[in-house]
Amino acid sequence: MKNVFMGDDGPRNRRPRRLVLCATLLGLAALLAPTTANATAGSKCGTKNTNGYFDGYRNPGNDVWNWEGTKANITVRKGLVCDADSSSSNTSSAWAMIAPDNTYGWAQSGYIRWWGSSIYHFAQHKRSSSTGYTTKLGSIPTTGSTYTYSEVSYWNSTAGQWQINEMVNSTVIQHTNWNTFTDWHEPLAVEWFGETKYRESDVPGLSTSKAHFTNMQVQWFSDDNWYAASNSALNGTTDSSRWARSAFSAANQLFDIWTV
Amino acid sequence: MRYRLILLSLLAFASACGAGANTVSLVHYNSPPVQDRKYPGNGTDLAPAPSGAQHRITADQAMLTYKKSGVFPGVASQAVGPPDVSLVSFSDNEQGDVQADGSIKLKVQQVLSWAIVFHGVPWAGIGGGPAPVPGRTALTQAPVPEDIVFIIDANSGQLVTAFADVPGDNTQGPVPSEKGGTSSSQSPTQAPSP
Repeated sequence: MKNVFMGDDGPRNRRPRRLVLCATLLGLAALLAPTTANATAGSKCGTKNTNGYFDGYRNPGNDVWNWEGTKANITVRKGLVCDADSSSSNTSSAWAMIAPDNTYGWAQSGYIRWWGSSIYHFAQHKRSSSTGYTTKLGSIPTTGSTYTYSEVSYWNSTAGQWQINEMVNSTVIQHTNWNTFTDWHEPLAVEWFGETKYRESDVPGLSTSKAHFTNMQVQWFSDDNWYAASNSALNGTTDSSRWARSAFSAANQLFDIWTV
Repeated sequence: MRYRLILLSLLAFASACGAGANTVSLVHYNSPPVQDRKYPGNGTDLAPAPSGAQHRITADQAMLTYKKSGVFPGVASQAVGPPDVSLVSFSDNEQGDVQADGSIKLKVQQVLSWAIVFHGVPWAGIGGGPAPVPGRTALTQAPVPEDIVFIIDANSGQLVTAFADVPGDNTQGPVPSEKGGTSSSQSPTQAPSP
């Protein structure tokens, strides 16, 4: 019964006739619903965690010669968010990221949605703790499809520095414009997470349709090539009993996340 | 007397129709003269539209598209003043497809668009940044006043993109350094596993 009566599919833009029909159907469904039904993506939002709630894996690296880029294939699932906050900070997303050891900056790409919105590809980067957040949306992905989200280190010969492309499949959404290895504190960490801001919101995926992270790779510092992610020093994080993740498979470089 | 009643009725009807039309654009906006506006942080460029450029979509319709999209919700209430809505020639000089030779074929160049720009929105990104590191205090991402920009194709009416950035925030600065800023000069102790 999850996500049937709650959540945020924003009826604001629907026609009144459809609203009446929906209200009637919902009323009937409510009468027939078992009283023990769980409520996910609730109508109320609790206290917002500005830092975000995370569900997935982080690998902090263990020396400066580790990696400079990362990628993963992620299945697009719609994560419902609680209803009481229709601001930009109420999100459900999944992404791949590379960040300096001190976490003052980052570069990431993935998909995201807000209350009542479609799902969008996005990319975002931040140079340091004192700079702004550069955020850009891409196109609308197909729910259920899988896309490769990658942060690719490359040499910008014009600028004379190493930068990072934030990509979806073979499309660059945007790139950083500073030298990764002078501005960022190493070793760089790689992350693959689902994220939301409220316990009452869902990370993408349900137990019946999980969000798959597959083909997880890291771009090696020493030769710029790509290698399979390993479980060495890998940290799993799931901030709430509302969300779950499967164990990382070192053999196949994959895991799943979902809302319980 | 009868004519006056008929006239009043007509006025009321016209007023009601007008009110309906205005619901398209509930958010007041400015239409300032267009000046070239660049966002070097993400490679976008809002140049003045060519003189006399033809467009099928009005500014009001563009506002409706923005509101229906649900993207970056709530920014109108956080912005400093009403948004600026301008007809521009929009280019994204970073978004593109990587070609076989490694070059990038840009996807969006000089597209006649309506640019809806909200100024001074306290922006802390669309996530919390990196996940907190175990054993360390989580960093709180402080908001920064940024522009939130919606680009609506002035002919198709589609949302081309939306972004948040500081205008002119050219954090770029050629740093003549290759890898090794904070790296040691040691070789990797372990070869990467294939």
